[in-house]
Amino acid sequence: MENIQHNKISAEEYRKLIINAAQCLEDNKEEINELNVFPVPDGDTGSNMSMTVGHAAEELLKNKDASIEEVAVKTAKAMLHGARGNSGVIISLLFRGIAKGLENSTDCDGIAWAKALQYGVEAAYKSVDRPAEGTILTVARCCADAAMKAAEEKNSFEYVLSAAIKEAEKALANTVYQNPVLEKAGVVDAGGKGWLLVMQAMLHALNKDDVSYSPKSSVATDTKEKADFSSFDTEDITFGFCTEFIVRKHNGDDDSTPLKAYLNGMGDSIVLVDDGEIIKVHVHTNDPHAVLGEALKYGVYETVKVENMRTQHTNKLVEADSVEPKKELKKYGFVSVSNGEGINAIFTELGVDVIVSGGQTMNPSTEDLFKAVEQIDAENVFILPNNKNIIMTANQVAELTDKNVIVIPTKSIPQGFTAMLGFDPDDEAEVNKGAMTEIIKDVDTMQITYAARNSNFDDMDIKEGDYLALCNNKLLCSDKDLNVLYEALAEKIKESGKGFVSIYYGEGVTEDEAQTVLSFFEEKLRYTDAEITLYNGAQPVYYYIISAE
Amino acid sequence: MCNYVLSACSPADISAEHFEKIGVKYLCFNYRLGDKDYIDDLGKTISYKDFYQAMRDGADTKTSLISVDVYADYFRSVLKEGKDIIHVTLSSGLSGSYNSARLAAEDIRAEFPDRKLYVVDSLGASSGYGLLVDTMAGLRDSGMSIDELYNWANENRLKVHHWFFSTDLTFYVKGGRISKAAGWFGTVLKICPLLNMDNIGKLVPREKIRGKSNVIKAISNKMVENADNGTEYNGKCFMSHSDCYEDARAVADLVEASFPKLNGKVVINNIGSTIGSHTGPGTVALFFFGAERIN
Repeated sequence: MENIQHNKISAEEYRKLIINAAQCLEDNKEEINELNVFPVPDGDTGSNMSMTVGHAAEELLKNKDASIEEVAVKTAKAMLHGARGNSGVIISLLFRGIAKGLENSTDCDGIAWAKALQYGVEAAYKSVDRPAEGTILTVARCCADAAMKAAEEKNSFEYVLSAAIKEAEKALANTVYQNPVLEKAGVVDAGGKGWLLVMQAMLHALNKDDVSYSPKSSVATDTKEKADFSSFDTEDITFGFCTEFIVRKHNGDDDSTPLKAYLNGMGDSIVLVDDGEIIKVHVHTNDPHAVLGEALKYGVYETVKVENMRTQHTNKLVEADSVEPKKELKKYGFVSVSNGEGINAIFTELGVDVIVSGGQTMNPSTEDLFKAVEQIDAENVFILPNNKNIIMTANQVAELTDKNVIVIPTKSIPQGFTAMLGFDPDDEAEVNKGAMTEIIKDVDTMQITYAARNSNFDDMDIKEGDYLALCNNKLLCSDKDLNVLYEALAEKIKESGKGFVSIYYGEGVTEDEAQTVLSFFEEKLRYTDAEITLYNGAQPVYYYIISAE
Repeated sequence: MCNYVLSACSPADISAEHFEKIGVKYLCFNYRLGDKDYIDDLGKTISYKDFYQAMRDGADTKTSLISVDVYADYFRSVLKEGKDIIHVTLSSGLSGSYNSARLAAEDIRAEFPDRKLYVVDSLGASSGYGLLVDTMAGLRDSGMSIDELYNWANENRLKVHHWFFSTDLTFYVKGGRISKAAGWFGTVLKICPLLNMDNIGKLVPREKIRGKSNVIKAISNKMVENADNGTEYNGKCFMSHSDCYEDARAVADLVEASFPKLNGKVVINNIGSTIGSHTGPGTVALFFFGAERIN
């Protein structure tokens, strides 16, 4: 049986290959995660890639399709929705190009596969502004080039894939020397490793009779944050109770913004309409009791409806959602990715409609952002990713919706706030995009966190658990003593000469501790004209986020 | 001396001495503080400090228009003495006083067929309106006729730039004088909106700036960008403030340092009770001449 060459693969075989690739990534994601050399806690490449490809496997397992074109399109679409992190987005684009290559095909031979891989590389390169060597892109490109050569020698799927893998192995080994950071750490690129694993798993699956996909518990165990997001799939509902109510307000002038901020911390799928007399609310939450208690502060109930979504059928669930109060179409809407009650409340006050929880260690998927965009009845929707590893994911959303989606490439929470300040409701979307993108350049963001792993980064010997200070996402210094970091950051602010400093303290930091830090900065910046303000951001991962503008 | 009267109303926010020095007659608005009515007599009855303290303490304020009748009586008293009058009003974009004055003028013109009576809509407010009137007084003194002055005012009023910011937005929100768009009034983030007056005399928020020291820099940059001849500007510069002299002084220091050719020092006035009823304490405003305001 082993001797039979798979010259062509069928739709069913391609399906099998993808499912096996998903399982392989799932089994090996920790190994990929370990390749991360940057000491900062973040959304790990292996987990992100596994979730992205896993999303496709789940879709494919639901039912079978007749042609390879259909399977490939379904795979690409599912990955687009499920893409998390930059590596996830790139892998989804590779498969999207492959689907394009398999258009109008019922099966796939060696030549078709080589072409498909080429299309994949083209699609992936197009989406990256400044492609760097020594990444998943390099590995995928070398792999596709080798496939083209092999296809000329022999038009066999298996032959072409084997040749591509051989080249991918070489290209991956070479990534160490293409990126100085990798070279110092002596490791290969994590994304490239992921792509090689996918190719290898596909090859192995050719001779497997049976494949399966079983992810380890759906809640990622390797992150500190709540891992699951607003999925409507019954099997992984995060917030179990669809809660709707109408409150007649005690006082029409009362601002319902704090209620919205509160709801953002309690669940998702939030719609709040305040017409001055009544507040109408729809929210999915695990604690309807608390939500209803909070709402009582604003008035008396007219109606209340709570349904357990876990006991409902999917179609019932869709029905429940369709009775959301109707909002009129507005010109602009805003989606922001953030975490932490205090941070979320500020975004809400600034006019953000929907907050997708996520950030450094948990990158939301394209699907999460898409759903948030769809919740807003607006012509133009701005997305503030607030993290460099979420920008690419956000860029994919435009493909999925009819709305005009504008991504402002905010790389930090303070940049997100400042972007909102640059928005002017009277200006056109393009003008706003320009103004918001421009204004965020004036913001310096500093962050204090801990080292998630031992690392020798930038010649700094960092031990797991050391404190790290970052300035504009670059590692500034590390120490076991936080005071050393405060000192360095205060110096940085002094140098910049900026006039407004905000300190957002994270969860686990007490107000007293934060006040002490505030006094320290006030003392250090006494002879500048800087004004310093302290906020309880309650964000995870970062003890402090400090901005100077 | 000249044979016509130049006049304005109290919201031009220049001091009584200044009005006297430049020979401009003024008519006082009325306002209500708590449950009592007062005349906006440039801080005489109630000092500016006391007025803003009362607002901070929660006293309600209300301004009332000068009625058509009061304008008519006022114009009549001047015309009766055999003098012509040109009266400059607060922006029609903020107040109905221009309309009242115009209606009064139409009513009584027939009574004085031989006299000239002009009403000018300043399309300005506070000491910006004051800067226009001050400049007109200078032109009058240099011999401009009432007709020429009327034309000059209509052609040049939009050249007075009004920029201002507030560090306390409570009263802006309360008064609803400027559109309350999302984010403009984020008190949590210490946003100081930078506003100006547009070409129809309405207040428009232009930029959201975090922190006092940044907005102080930003407002003086607006003058660098917009003043005639940039930093070579050699006209006058007026300012006004509502009980925050130090902030105004900080802006004036920057302006005096950036504009060496300024005509005299920056004149810092108080925002009076009429405008102040809407801004509350904490507003700093800057006025100068530049290119015609186009939006």
